[in-house]
Formats: sequence, C-alpha cells, structure tokens
Amino acid sequence: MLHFLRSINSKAKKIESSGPKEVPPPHDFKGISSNLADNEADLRQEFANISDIVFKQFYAGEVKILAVWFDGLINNRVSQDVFRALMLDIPEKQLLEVPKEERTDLINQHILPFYETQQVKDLAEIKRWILRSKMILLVDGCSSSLMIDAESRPQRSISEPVVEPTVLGPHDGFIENIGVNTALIRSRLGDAMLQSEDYIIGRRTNTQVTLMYVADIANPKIIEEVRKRLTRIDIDGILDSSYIKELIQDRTLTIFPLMKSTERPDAAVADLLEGRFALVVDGSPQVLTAPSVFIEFMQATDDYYMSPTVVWFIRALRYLSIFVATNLPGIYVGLITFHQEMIPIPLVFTIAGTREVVPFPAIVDALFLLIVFEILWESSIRLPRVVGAAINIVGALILGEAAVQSSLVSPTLVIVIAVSAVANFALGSRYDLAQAVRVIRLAILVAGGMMGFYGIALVSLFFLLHMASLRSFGVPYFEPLAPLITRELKDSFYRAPLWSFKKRPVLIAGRDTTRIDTPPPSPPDEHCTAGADSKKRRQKGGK
Amino acid sequence: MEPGKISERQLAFLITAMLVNTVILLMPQLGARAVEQDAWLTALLGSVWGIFMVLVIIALARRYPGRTPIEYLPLILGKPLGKILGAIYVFWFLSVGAVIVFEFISFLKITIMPKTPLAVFMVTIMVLAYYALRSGLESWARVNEILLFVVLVAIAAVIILPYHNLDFSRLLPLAEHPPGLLIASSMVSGSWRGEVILAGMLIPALARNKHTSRNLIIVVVLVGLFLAAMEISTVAAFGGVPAGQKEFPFFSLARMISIAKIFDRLEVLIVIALVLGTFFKICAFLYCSTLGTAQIFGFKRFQFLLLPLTVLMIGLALNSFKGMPELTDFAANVWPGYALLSFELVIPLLLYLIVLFRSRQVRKS
Amino acid sequence: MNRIVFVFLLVTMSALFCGCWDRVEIDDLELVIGDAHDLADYAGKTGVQTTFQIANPQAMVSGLGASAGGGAGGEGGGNGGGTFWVVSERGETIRDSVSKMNNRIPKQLFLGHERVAVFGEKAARSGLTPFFDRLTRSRESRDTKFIAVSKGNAGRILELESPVSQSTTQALNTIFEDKDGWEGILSVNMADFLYRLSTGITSPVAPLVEVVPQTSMTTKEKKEGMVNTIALTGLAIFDTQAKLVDTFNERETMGLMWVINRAKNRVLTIPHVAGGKAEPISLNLTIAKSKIKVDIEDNGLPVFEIKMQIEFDLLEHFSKHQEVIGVGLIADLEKTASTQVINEIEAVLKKSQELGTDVFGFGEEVRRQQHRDWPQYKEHWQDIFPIVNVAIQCETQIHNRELSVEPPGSRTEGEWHQ
Repeated sequence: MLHFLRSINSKAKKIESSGPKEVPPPHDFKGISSNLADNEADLRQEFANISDIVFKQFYAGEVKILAVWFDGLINNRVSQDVFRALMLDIPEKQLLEVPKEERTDLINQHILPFYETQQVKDLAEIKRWILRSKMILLVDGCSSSLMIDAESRPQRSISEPVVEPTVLGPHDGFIENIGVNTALIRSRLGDAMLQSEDYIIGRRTNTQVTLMYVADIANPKIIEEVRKRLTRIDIDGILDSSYIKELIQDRTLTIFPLMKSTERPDAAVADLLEGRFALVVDGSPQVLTAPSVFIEFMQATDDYYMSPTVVWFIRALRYLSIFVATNLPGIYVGLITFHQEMIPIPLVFTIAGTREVVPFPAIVDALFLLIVFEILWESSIRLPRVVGAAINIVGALILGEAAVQSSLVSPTLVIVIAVSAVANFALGSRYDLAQAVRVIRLAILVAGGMMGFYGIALVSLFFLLHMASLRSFGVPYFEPLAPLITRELKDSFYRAPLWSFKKRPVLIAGRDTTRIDTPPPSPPDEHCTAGADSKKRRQKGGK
Repeated sequence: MEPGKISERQLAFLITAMLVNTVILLMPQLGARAVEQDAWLTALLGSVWGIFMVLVIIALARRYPGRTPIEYLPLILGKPLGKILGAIYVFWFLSVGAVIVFEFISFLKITIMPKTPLAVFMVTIMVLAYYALRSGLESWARVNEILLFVVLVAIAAVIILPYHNLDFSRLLPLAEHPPGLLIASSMVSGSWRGEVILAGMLIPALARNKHTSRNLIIVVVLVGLFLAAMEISTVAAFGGVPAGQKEFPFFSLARMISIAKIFDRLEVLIVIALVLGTFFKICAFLYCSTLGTAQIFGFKRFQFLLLPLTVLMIGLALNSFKGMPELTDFAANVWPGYALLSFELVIPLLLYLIVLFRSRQVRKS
Repeated sequence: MNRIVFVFLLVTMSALFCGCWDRVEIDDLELVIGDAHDLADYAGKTGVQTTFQIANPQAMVSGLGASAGGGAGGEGGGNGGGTFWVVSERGETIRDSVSKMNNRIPKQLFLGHERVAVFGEKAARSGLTPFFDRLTRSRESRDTKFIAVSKGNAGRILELESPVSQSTTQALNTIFEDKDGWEGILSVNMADFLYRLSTGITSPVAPLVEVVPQTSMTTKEKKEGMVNTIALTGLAIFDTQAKLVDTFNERETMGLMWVINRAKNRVLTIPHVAGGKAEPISLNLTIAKSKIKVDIEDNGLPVFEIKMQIEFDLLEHFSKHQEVIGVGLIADLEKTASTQVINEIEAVLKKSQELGTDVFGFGEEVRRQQHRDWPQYKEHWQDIFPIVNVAIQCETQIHNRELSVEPPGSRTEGEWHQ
C-alpha cells in the first residue's frame, strides 16, 4: 500500500517514450509473485472498496488466468476477443508446454492479436495501468503480467468547435480525449519533426499531458523552459487544461490571457508552425499553445481563410470594437460629467433633456446598468439553455424598456452600454480576452466617472504598462507592438497576403525561420492567356 | 546596473517624446511674444543648438562606453569634484523633472479641470510613473514606442485640422526681426531641445549603439520642423501678436478644430494625448535622477531609491512655483541660462575639452 | 513585494480618484447658448450688462414645436414651455455680472456651448477691447465664437424668438456657419476680430444685427404678437481701438467682401438694355478672387491696385424680350458686371477713406509687400490711408446660362402682346 502511494505521490513524471510502452521508475519496484492467488489477494486488497472493478478468473486450457479492469472503461469487443482467443481458440496444452515464466510472452506474441500490449512486472505499475483504464491479465505461475490497451472511455464524437466557430475553414474541434486530440494535430502536421512528450500530472487524477512542438522550428530554450515548468507541477488533480495554464504561465496576477487555448486543430497547427508549442491535456477540449502575444487574441482563424483585403476591414472593425468595448461607457460618463463642452450641440440638448428626469448621477447609473448587464451575461451562461431564452426576454426587453420608462436610467446610457456589450461579443472567439475586456471596461468606467478623461488616460496607461511588462514564456507579451517589430506588424492591425509572411515570428521561432518562399502571384505571361490577335498586335507594334 | 536593454529606436522615440511634450505648451507663447510671426524661425534655429549638444554628449559617451555621465564625471574631474558635479547634475534632473511636472499639471488644471487640486494630479501621475519605473526601463520605453505615435498624430491634428481658420499671409513679412534677436530668442527653444542630453544617461542601456548620434540628430531636426510647423499654424490662426497673448497658444489652436461643424471642442482629447506623452518625459527624468543617485553612491540596485525620489519630486514640484505667471517668467528669463548655458551645453563642452586635452597629453608623453 | 506595490497603487489611486472635484452632472448645468453684452449704469458708474440665453434642453429635444407651446423668452421667463429663457444682470465686469445671476439661477452656468456673442451699440461705441478679455481668458469660451454687433440694445436680440430656429442665437450661428460669404453676410469670429485688432492698422469689422419686423407670420405667431425678428443688415466698422465708428450697409459690405476675398455666393443683378428698356439680368457668382498690389509712387505715397477675377453663371433674365444669350451678349454682360463690381468697391472705398478706417488691410499689404518702406508709414497710417490712390481692375467671365438658351415666349418682334 505504502509503496503504491509513494510511487503515485511522486511529482509529475515525464514518460520517457510515448505511448503505453512505459518503463516504470526502478526505485519503487515491487515484483509480483508467480502465485496467482497471492496476486489476486494483493490486488483485491488494494481495490478493496471499489465496486466497479471486475476480477474475472478463467482458464485458458489448464492455466488459470485473472483479468482485472474497471467496468465500462474497456472496449467490450476487445475484451470478448481476448477471452475468445484465450478460452476457445487456444490449442490444448499449448500454455503448459512452455516454461511457466514464459507464459505471458507466449500469450503476448502468439495468441493475442493486439498490438497495444505490454508486459508488466511491477505491482504498483499494474495498479496504475488498471487505474488508467487498461486491462491486466495475470497468468498463474508467471511473475509478469500483461497489460492490454483495450481502453474505451466514454467520449463524445468530434464536433464543431463551440467557442470558436468559423464560417470558412475546417469544422472539426478537439474533444475530451487526448488520443483523438493528438491524432487531430498529427493528421494535419505530417512531419517527423513534430515531436510529442508525455507527462503524467496530478497525484490522484494521473492525467496525461502531451507536449507537442516542431523540433526544428521551436526555440529549444522555450521548450526546455516548458519542460521545467511542467515537471515542477505538484497537484492532486488536473481537470482541465486551464489548470495547467494557471500553473505554468509566467504570471498569474493578470487579467490578460498569457497562453492561448484553442479548440481548433487548425489553429493549434498554425501555432506549432510558428514555433510555438502545444499542450494537449487529457479530458480537455482546449489545447494550450504558447508563447502567446496580445495580437494573437485579436486574430480569428477565419482571417486566414479570407481574402486579405477583406480582412483589413474586419481587423480594423475588431480593434475598433475592443476600443468601444473597453472605453465607451467610461468616455460617455467622462463626457457628460466632466467635458460637456465636447459634446456636439444638438446632442448635448438631447442628453441633458433626457437626463433631467434621471435621479442618479451618471456614474451610478452607468455602473448600475453595466453590472446588470454583467449579471445577465453571467446568468445566461450558467442557466440551462431552455431557461436562457426567458432570461434574455426578461433582461433585454423588460429590464431595458422598464428602466428607461421609469426614468431610472437615461436612454442614451442604455445605448452606450448596449453598444459596448455588443462590441465585447465581437471578440467572442477569444473568450479569455473578452473576459479581460469586462474588467478593463469597469476600471475605465470608474476612472472616467471619477476624473474624466484624465482618469481614463491614466488607467489606460496603467494597463498598457502592465501589458508591456508581461511575458509569455520569456516572449514580450506586447510584441510586435512593443517592442516594435515593424516586419511583423503585417499580421496585426491588418493581414498582409500570405506570400508576404516570409519569416516566422523572430522572437518565438528558433532555427528554421523561413515560413513561405513563394513569389507573389503575378499575372501569367501573355502567351498563356492572351488571344492570338493581341499577340500579333504586340508583334506588329514591336516591328 | 539596469538589466533592461532598450533598442536604438526606443531611445530615439523616448527622446522625441521628451523634446516634443510640454515644450509645445509654452514655447509658442514665448516665441511669438519675442519675435511675433517669426517664431517658427526660432523653432528651427533651436535645432542647431540641439545638434551641437547631441554631438558633444555622444562624443563624451564614445570616450566612456557603457558609462553614464554620472559614472564618467569622476574619471574626468577626479573623484571628489566629479561626484559633486554628478550630484549637482542629478539634482538638476530632479528639479527639471519637477518643473516639467508642475508645468504640465498646471496646464491640465487650467485647461480641463480647474477645481481639482494640483496634488491630486501630481500624485496620480507620479504613482503611475513609479509603477512604470518599477516594471523596468524596457516596458515603459516599449509603451512609449506605441504611444508616441498617438501623441504625434494628436499634435499633427492640431496643426492641420484648423485649416479653415489658417491665414498664412499672417506669417508675412518673413524675418522682419534682426538676425541677432532671432538667434537670441532661439536660445529659449534651443534650451528645451537641450533636454536631449538625458540621452547620455540612457545610452549605456542600449543593446546596440551604432546609429545613436545619427538618430538623435534626426530626432532633433525633425522635432524642430514639427515645432516650427506648429508655430506656423499658431501664427496663421491667431496672428503673431495674439499668439503671444495667449497662455497656451497650442491649446487655443486645438480649440479651433471643428470637424464637419459637429465635432468641435476636441481640445480635451488633445490634452489627454499630451498626458500620454508627457508621462514618459516625467518617467525619463525620474529614471535619470534615480539612476544617477544610485551611481553617485555606488549602489548596485536603484529600485529602493525610487520611492523616496518620487516623493521628493512631488514635493519639489508642489513647491516650485506659485502658478503659471512665475513659471512663464522662469522659462523665458532664467531657464535658457539655467539649462542651455550651463548643464546642457557649457559644462559638457568643457568636459569634452578637458578629455581632449588630457588624451593629447597622454599621446605626447 | 510586488503584491505590496500593487495594493499600494490600488489604495492611493482609488483614494485620490474619489475626490472628483470637477465632476458636475450635465443635467446640473444651465447651458448658455448665447450671450449679449451692453454698457449700462451700475452703482453710479458705467458698468456692463450681461445677458445670457439659456437653453431649456427638454423643450429643445422635443423639437421646434415647443416654441409655439408656451410664452417663451422674456426676462427670467417660463420654466416649462419655451426652448430657452433669458437672464440679464449688471456688474462692474462681465464675470461680476454673471456671478450675480447665481442668485436666480438654480443650476450651474455652463458657457462651453455659447456660440454667438452680441455686443450692444453703446458698448461698441465705447470700445470692445475690455469685453474680449473675458471671452479669451475663459477656458469655456472658444476663439471661433462668432461675434455680432446689434443696433441698439444687444440683450433685446436674445429676448426675441426666432420663427425658424430654436433661438435667435442658434439662428445667427447657423447663418454665420453656413452662409458666410453669401450676399452681404460676413461672419467674423473672435480670432479674426482680434487679429485685425492686434495689427493696430487694420480696422476690425463685425456683422450688424438688427431687429426687423417679421414679414411673414403664421396666424399663431400673429396672435402671440411675434411681429419682430432679427436680420443681418450690414457691417459694423471699428477703428483700431475697437470703437464703433460707423456701419456699412449691405451693398458696401458686399463691396468689401470682393476685396478681402470673402465673397462666396452672390447674386449680382445688372441692368441690360434691350429695345430701349433696361431689363435686369441676375448673375450667380461661382468664383471670385482678388489680389492687392502695392507700389510706391514718386511722391512717396503707396498706390494700390486691386485686381479682381470673377466668374459668373447667368441665373435669370427677367425680360419681355426674346434674346438668345449668345456670345456677343455675354461679352456685353461681362463688361456691365465688371463696372458694377468696380462701382461697389469704389463706394465702400470712398466711405472707408472718409471714415479713415482701413477695413481692407491695405496697411498690412504695404507691410508685407513693401517691407523696407513700411516703418516710415507705420506711425502715420491713419493719415495716409484716406489719401492713397486705389486702382481697381475687374475681369469678369460668364460661363454658363443654366438650362435655357433664351427666355420662353414667342419669337415675335418687340414686346409681348398685352
């Protein structure tokens, strides 16, 4: 028992070779006995109070075999195949003919038609495999057991990404199964240089985390850093990739996302190709990629599937909407309580006229409405979808309408808050940034209400300074704006055509820096397209 | 000492922010008061002084690579004298920083928030400067890199957007005043251009130091052109005499902006853009005085000096002047001598001559 | 350490932010939309009388109809119905009189949106310079604010209602903004006025606003006795001390506008003699440019040459005669138009030379163009200006005749059948 705990208690371990062909750490090795009954007793004692474990004893010919697995985590067809092969198809006495110790070898190499099998001798490891939903065969008289990967965990099928839907481009998204997720990545990036390293993190959950990177693109220093940070983690359980994110990012006390989490395989692959690494966490449909910079959160996957000229406009819209989302309520309150002379004359009468009947100061009004909106947002996420519609009606129609009618808030303010909220949703595909925007908006609103535009300027400066001091795995968070890398601005406020992305991001990519080496598309030579007459005319003209 | 490294461009941008901000508040008034419609010529001539100062400070920095003036002063003048002069320089940084804070805060108070006490503005902006300096030279130099663009666009907007009120014939006749007067009044403009000597404190923080002198000269000249353009616009909008009658001609010019007859009175936005620029100027002065203090006493780190010096700067700023009349008087009469003729030009020049003389002696022997 | 810094920042910032000294709600402001300044007796001395036109935003929002709703206007007028109300006080300085208004006005006065300042005739005659100090010094007022001089009391201009706009000052503002350079309208903002004043040689001018009877009225307006309205009727001419000297009528104003390049839109009606009868033709101004050239004569006096280049389109031929507007006729018309423009300019020139007010900026032209000789004229310009010679040249072109080649009607000889 103690041994078992000790082995599991060790911190997150990097698994040397990927896949189930794992070599257990030698220091807490406790071999199993060749007596099946002893082993069974051991295991039954370990899993004493577990009801959903299955101990199935059967005979292959004359030899007693014990199969152990957790109910529901094993593929039924595979387990049936195992039993059929051992109980029915096995030639008489075959197992008796070989020495007792080689029985598992025989089963492994000659009898079971499965590829993901492994001989295990360590009792602790056996327990771990069982816990990680594998099937264990213990053969009587043999001091090694056989692990069969017949895992079949409950999982949903690959479906469209929920948080980051796109119109164009691939429509598959990551799911909660790590094997599927890594397969989704590898199927898109068929390069031997795409390397993956497995880590088991979580003392109790034993969650598998796979670090993926393209060896000759990624910066080795960054990869070394992430390895270090992953092995440093000591936690009882990892329930989602965001646990990992929070435990390894450069700074936790910030509202800005320092690692990008995506549920789009194409986005993950794009990041890998830029020299970033990806962390796939079992049980999470969000794959982490880093190092991340701020402008990444302003990009949507769609941007790369549309004409760059259109994207210029869309990007401009997105930057406008982040400005509106963060600043509009603050600017409005600053305008009507500090800088009234700035309001255009026709508007000043409108605002003053409608505000005359509102009893509260503008800042209180705005805070009230903003907080109501935030509550509505929060409740519409948490509520079951069926009730959500009702909330929308109550929130949007009844509350808004009634608040204006009862002169609790001014109609202009309702428009301002609504526009700001809609602009916030325009960043929807980057959910974590949208959350940061909510906080900034509140801060700017308070500053605008307290000190007008001067307050807004100071708060904006504070956030900018804060962002400039952030780093994601050593890469400045505000790159390429600060430090200004003019060459890389081509994917920030606008997106240049693909052929112009000649180099990978200089602060992120390591060795292979050339991304695209295609000359810009040009009109074809005239002999491919132009009619014969134009050719003739040209020749004539030449003469 | 300072682990942060900045790029040459960041230095150039930082110096630009220093040379443009707050200078545009007072300079048009002083220029127009002295030489009316020829004020823009003095802004251009001021660049000549600036270029000279860049050359001196860069020449000194070349002799002592990787050292700030505070560090090489003892090497030139010997330890006691060098340390004393260094201390005087550090105090100069601190006091000029305080003057700048006072000037800008007074501007804010007069133009957009007359009832708010000076101390509130001062403490808020200095606390933020403290935060910026704590997060390192790198980060605030980087933010300046982005925001300088905003500041310059805002100032350019003030120069260009009142176009329907500009009457360029008001600039005529050209050079009505005698050249002597023009050069004398260019010293006012030049003494502000001389803030470029703070670059000496920042050069050791450069990651690469190849084009610094070229960059700085370009910056000084461009800033001269920029300020001249602003003088031209101011005089064209108000005429030479009325421009000199305004406390902040630049601000008055900003009030002339009217876009499509609907969006006018945008001067608050301009003032706010100036906050974004002046903040970095304040940061630069605070940084130089903190770094200088640490170097005089030979401390390895300066973070712990930051808080006392920030408080000291607030104190100095709060007690520096009574109001704008005093400050304007100081800027017109005392400042050129206080800055240009001593700390900015004459002392560095003397130091350089001493260094030259010494090295020639060494070569002879 | 970092966390301590963070908390420190948070605490100081929030503590300081809570002050909000300058915060004032927009609905706690009285939005002043226009001001009028008069001289008046105050405490036995000459003081100023300041009149403010204050908007009533709620009525403004609900539109023009509100002005018909209740008896608006009037001193300290109603608080519900009208779109604006007027308050007036006397004091030693403008600010002094404004401070006295606080006894009556519930909310804080806000001058950031005043657009037009009207000066009374009496104030203008005594010199406007002291009035401008408040207007330039205040951070709330703007340099592009339009100014006007009223015949008689300026406060009366603000008290009147405008039949078309929400208030008289808004009507004035719209005229000044949109119709600058039209006919005899010359809008002058404070910066322009102060520039002319600052030269010490050029005479400042300001548009003249007058109370005139309203020529067309709705029955409702008639019933309410709204028989008067305001109109711009020319230009007030000041001397270099900003004292009102005289006024120009509309025709003289138009003459001035030709010279100082401010004419933008103008219908010039010229006589055209056809069949022994003068039949008027209206021309529409498209482009007008003037240039002033200065030379020094042998007798040491500067001589000016005004060169006008004007382009017109033919707008209307009010004629009983059928006549094709052809090339020959246009050439004739061009000559007539030139003569008329020259006449207009000469009229205003004569008047200003008689008054001794250099409204054209001739002195400045000498300063710019004959820079070396300027110092000798500088001191005596007021004496020189009335006697300088001015030659006027006008080159007129008529380009188009709109949609008709000739006036409609039958092509019989002579006049129409009666």
